[in-house]
Amino acid sequence: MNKILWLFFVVVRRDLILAMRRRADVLTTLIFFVMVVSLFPLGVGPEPEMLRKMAPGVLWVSALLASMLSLGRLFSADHLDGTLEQMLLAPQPLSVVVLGKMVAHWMVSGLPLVLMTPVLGLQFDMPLEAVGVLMLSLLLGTPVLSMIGAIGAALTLGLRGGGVLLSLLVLPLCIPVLIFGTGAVGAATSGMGFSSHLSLLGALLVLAVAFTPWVAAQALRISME
Amino acid sequence: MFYPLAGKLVPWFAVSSAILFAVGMYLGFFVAPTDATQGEFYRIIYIHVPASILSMFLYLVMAGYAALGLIFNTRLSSMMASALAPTGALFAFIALWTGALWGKPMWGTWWVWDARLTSELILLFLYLGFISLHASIDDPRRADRASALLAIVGSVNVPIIYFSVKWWNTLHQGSTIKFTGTSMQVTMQHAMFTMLAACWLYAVAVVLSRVRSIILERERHTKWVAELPEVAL
Repeated sequence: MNKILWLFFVVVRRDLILAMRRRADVLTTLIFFVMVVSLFPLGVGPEPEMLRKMAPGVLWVSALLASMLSLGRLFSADHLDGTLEQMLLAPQPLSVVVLGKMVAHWMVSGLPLVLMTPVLGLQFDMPLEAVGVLMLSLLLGTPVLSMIGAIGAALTLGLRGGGVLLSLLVLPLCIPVLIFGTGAVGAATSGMGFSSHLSLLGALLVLAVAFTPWVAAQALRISME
Repeated sequence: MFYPLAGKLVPWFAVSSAILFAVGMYLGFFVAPTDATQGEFYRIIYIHVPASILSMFLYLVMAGYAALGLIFNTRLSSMMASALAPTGALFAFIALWTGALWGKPMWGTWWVWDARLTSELILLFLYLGFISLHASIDDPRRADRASALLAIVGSVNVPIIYFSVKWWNTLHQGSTIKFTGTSMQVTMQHAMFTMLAACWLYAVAVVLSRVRSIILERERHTKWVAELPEVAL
């Protein structure tokens, strides 16, 4: 057990160090997120009433797109320099390695978005309580996006036009996360209880942690044959 | 061998499907009475309902074949899965299209974000994802296995998507459209079931002939394909 935990932490630490050496990649995802969110008021008009209503959906969809953008890098760098093959050959369970990579990917591309949310929420004139719920829902939901996305990234590894294909595969599977994520904020602003939405998001997260590393590991084995 | 058997079966399924289509259309358009509330517009359900039933069912069949191919490494199952996908996508598209045609006179709009419509649309996306993943991998073995995994993940996700969409709709607004539980008239039922059977037979015929082409394409280097009368010509 300890060895597995140790393996997990080693993989997370390694991926985080690699990400920190190439900070521009991390920043691009964040900047993309901020830019997409800022484009919406320009597209639909500046009425605060409408913007307040749209804000959770806009932020969630932008987070979804931003996480798609960075998914391509999840396995491709390791695939190119051959590290991934060594990981597959290693005696340690591949699903733990994959889980470590998923968590590291989330910390690099999901967590900054969550931390950026309050600023963007204020831009959209959201009430403070709703911003809190939005952050909470993103905190629960973005890891699921990274995990489902990892399956798609593993399946499309090394294909031409992989990026667009990846979004095509992953986006429909992410719809439940989007629905519960925005639903929580919608329920909070309309004065209803939002805990049920957050519980369902939590349930999705638990399911994803339990199954997606294994599925993504299988997908990697298929792609690397 | 599967190939000649499928070749023998295809005409039977095709002919019986055509006959049932004709009978079903006749029953649906000339025998069945006009609906009390919806007038003549309701008659589109004779295409709409079988198409949507089949689009959902074929996804399960496809995922089942894909799982068989992945687990037992049988090549034919994977070929069946990839042969089923375009037909399923076609039915999903027909269901959406006829639904829109029906919705315009009935609800006054082409599209509402109703739970059923939305989940059908997502189902179409899942089919398209399967097809495009399969198409973009050059090695057929890897394509089979990768898209099989995707189909299985999708079929696990389908109930989650369906319920989330359902709750999403009811949470935002009371559902404005309900399928009223009016019991159907007997002739309408007969027409509907005939059309459903016709669509089933059509799907079987098309899938079998498509899987025959896939077999020919994949096995083109083997001796038995070269000896086939239709190839040797």
